Amino acid sequence: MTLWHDTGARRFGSRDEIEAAVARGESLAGACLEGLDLAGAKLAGADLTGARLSGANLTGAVLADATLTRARLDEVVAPEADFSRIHAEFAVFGLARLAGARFHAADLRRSNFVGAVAPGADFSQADVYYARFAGADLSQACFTQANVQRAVIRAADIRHARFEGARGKATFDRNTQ
Amino acid sequence: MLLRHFMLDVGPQEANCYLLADLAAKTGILVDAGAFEPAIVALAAEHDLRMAAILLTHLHWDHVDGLPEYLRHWPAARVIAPAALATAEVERTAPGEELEIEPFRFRVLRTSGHTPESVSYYCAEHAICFVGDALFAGSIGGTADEEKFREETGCIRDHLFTLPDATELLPGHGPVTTVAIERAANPFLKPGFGRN
Repeated sequence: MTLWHDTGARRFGSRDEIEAAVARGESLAGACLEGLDLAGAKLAGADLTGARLSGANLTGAVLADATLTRARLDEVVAPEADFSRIHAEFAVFGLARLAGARFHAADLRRSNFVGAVAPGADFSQADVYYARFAGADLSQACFTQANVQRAVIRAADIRHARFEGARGKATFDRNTQ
Repeated sequence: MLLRHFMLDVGPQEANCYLLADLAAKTGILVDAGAFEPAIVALAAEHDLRMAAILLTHLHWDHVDGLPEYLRHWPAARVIAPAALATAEVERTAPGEELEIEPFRFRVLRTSGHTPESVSYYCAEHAICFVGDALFAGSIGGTADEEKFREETGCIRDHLFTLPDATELLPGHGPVTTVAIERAANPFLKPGFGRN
């Protein structure tokens, strides 16, 4: 499997510019969107393969059905953002603030959520095979019917998290609860 | 700079290897070689890369077993490793050395503990560090005993956590991470977490 990681990437300066590019069906693969204010942006279905969004504000943004494979979203601020059905294998969400974010039916295999703050996030029916959630706040998160095979949920806060119907064997040692 | 990540089929461990290239200089470097992946050779050929070197982070089979096949395709590539290897002639490197593989420069960092010879290769210009099995996203490499655990975590604190926050840590297994993420949240580096 090959995954992108190129530098010298296309840069965008504003949310309008990005939304327009997505509306035209342009690929934003490898684009640099680091630190941008994209609160409420409509990026559904966008191709953000390998894009760099570290530190961006994605509060309430809609990225449903987007492709975020190997994208960097570490330290994004994305409460209530919609990541439903995204394709995000190997994506990095470490230290992201994801309270109430929706990852329903998302492909999050081998992704990095280390230290993410995601209370109440919805991972129902998501595929989190071999995803890393060490040190994350997953309190009240929902993993109902998710594939959690080999997921590493070590030293995480899973108080009141729900796992009904989740499939597979995850690592849960020394969790907060 | 072009950096591509390949997940190799070495069994359940799913080892990583990385192709780093400067497209202007048409020079490529492979980091770790756990299994032969034809797509890597094809990518190098597509960009007309001269594969200058293969860097090995440590000598476990899932990081070196593909080496002979890569060398059949790239016979001029230097093999740079922290210890001798039975299957290929290697240039030994050691922690503290500065490697120049034009146009790339790497500082070799001691990250032993998982194995005695384990090193990481830090490229300051591109803010990337190939860490092998010393550290993974939210975890660290397996160690044989408490002493090795202390050695490994000490190396991580001294040599990886002192790199700039935004440095990408490119591990031998699993997803990429950063110094900022691991320093903040890796439980194995927290006081009192321990080995098991």
